[in-house]
Amino acid sequence: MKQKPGKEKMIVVQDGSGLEKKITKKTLVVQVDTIEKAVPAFGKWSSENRVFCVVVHEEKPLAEIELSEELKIIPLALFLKEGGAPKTVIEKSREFREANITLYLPAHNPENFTLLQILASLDVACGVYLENEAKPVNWDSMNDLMYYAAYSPANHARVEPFDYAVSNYDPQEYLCFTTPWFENPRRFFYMDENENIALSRKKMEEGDFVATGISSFDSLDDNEKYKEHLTMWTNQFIDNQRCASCPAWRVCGGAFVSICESNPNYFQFFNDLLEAAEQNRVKQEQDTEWRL
Amino acid sequence: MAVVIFKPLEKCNSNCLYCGVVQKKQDLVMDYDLLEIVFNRMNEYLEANPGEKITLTWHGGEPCLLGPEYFRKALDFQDRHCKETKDRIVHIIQSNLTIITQELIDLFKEMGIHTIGTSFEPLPNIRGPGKDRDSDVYNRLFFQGVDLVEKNGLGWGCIYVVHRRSLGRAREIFYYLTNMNLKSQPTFNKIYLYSGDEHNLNITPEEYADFLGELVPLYWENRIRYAQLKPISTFIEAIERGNNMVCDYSGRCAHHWMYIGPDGKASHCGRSGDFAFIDYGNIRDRTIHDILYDKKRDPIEERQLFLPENECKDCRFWGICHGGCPLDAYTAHGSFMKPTMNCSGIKRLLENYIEPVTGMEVNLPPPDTNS
Repeated sequence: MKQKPGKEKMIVVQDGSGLEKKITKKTLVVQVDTIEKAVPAFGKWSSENRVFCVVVHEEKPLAEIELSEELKIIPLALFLKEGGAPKTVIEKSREFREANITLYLPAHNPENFTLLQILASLDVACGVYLENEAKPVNWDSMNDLMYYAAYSPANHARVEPFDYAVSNYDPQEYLCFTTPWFENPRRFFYMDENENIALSRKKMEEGDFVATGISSFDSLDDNEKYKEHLTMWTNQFIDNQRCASCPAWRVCGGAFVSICESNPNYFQFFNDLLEAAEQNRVKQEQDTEWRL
Repeated sequence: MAVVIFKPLEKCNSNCLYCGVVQKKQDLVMDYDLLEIVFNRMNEYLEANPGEKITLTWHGGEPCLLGPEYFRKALDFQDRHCKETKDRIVHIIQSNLTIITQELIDLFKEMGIHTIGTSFEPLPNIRGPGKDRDSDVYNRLFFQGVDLVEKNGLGWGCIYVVHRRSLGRAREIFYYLTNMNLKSQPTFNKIYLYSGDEHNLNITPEEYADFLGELVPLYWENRIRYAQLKPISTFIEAIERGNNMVCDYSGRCAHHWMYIGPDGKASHCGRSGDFAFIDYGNIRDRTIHDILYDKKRDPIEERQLFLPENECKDCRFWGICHGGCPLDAYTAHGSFMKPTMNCSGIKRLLENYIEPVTGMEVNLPPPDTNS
């Protein structure tokens, strides 16, 4: 994904949902379940819309992924369950580097952090993701990878979601840390085959919808259920929950309360991420001054 | 710039523990005749002083209780009586936001208001309606108000009143308030009680200094994040750049500030109006100029010459506090010619917290008037 994400709203659709004939002139994120489907899906959905990215939720390990020349030219986010043999992955790094791709590995496997650091050092854009909140994450390892992504003086590709957080941090705005995972209720709207709209992948699976109908997408800002969702953060303040008084609130947003309560290193991670984001901002401002 | 603390009503929909209006139990609302006089007076003052502006600070009570019709009337009076001067009237409003409506916001925008000042309390049952001060109801309404304000593209800034129950919870309260509004940092003011302390909320100047002191390292290490955290940031800016402090510490309030209450009574500022001391007569009978240059203000000006020759002589913090709020001094000592009762607290904050944390040294004694 070499495109710099803007602020526009996007519909996240599942390839095979049949919506490609109904949706027009929209910006889309198209989900497929194997990498082989990515190119045809991109072509099919691009005819009437702009496809921002194809998201692949792939069962195969990274080591077994083959990138054709056609795949290399489409914007891809590849969410994998496992890396596979590191040696093979490293051997394929040139292929990945040449593609317009971000590779994501789940955070619950400690070995993935090492592999991601290697990939980033080989200039392959990559990232870590929380596959399932129930699977424990080593937040120390998460923090180590964040430090590498944010502070390492050695050249490396971006590592998500840290790069997004650090680059998009604004002290006067809340940051949606989960945006690189296509989870941001202000940006990504999941639509199923019945045109039901949900505010995350999980909510769509659970049948928790805010609206129905393609036409309702354009008027979501006036949708009461959607508006209510966007103000839900205030409940943490009204009820004076622990998140409201947390120094890291502005980058975490109380997104993973259950994890935070059981793991103090979670808080440390977000606190350190906030610090990294601020240091980056200071550096950017200083750089700008020099260029003047 | 003349600042008018304008309290056209002393009614409120909340029953906050520390509020002077609640304690006074007055249901006064300024009538339209008097409101019209206020606008006539402002026009008269601005016509006579072409380089001047007036900041009209709508305060209360809760100004939103006045209702849209009242503000419409105010705009009408402004249009009719201040034809040539209305561009020099700056409206500011302080509201608890719990009963704000779209109609009111539209009127506030028409008045040129871009930011609404408010106050908030994360701790339960201190602010809120009813006998038990239902903070849950209050907070829900408050956040609805915030949402409406933000949707209209207006800013909002928050004051937090530091009281006895806040002590020991500085960081928790600080993070809560700074998380709640990232665009504007809170101002931490010391509690002022108008009569008695039945709820044991009052704190000493030293306790206030210690509360702020706990926040100084947090602020200093994270200045980008917390930018304008008052009064800590204003103290630091005063040391670094010689910036003037807010009214309390400016030493310049003698002829710039005035209060107009719901019955038209004029006083020095909001504090003196609430305490009901320093009577400058009534806006019905006196011009704004006459009120701003009332003889009773002379001691407040003289104080700036007297204190440097006496109790504040050689004080290296003079350039920061200028003797502090003259009304505080008057309340404590019955005389303006004394430093504020908060003097020890200011010194404690600067000496024990701001200087050691920032590495700055304050050296701002009064100028030597003999040289």
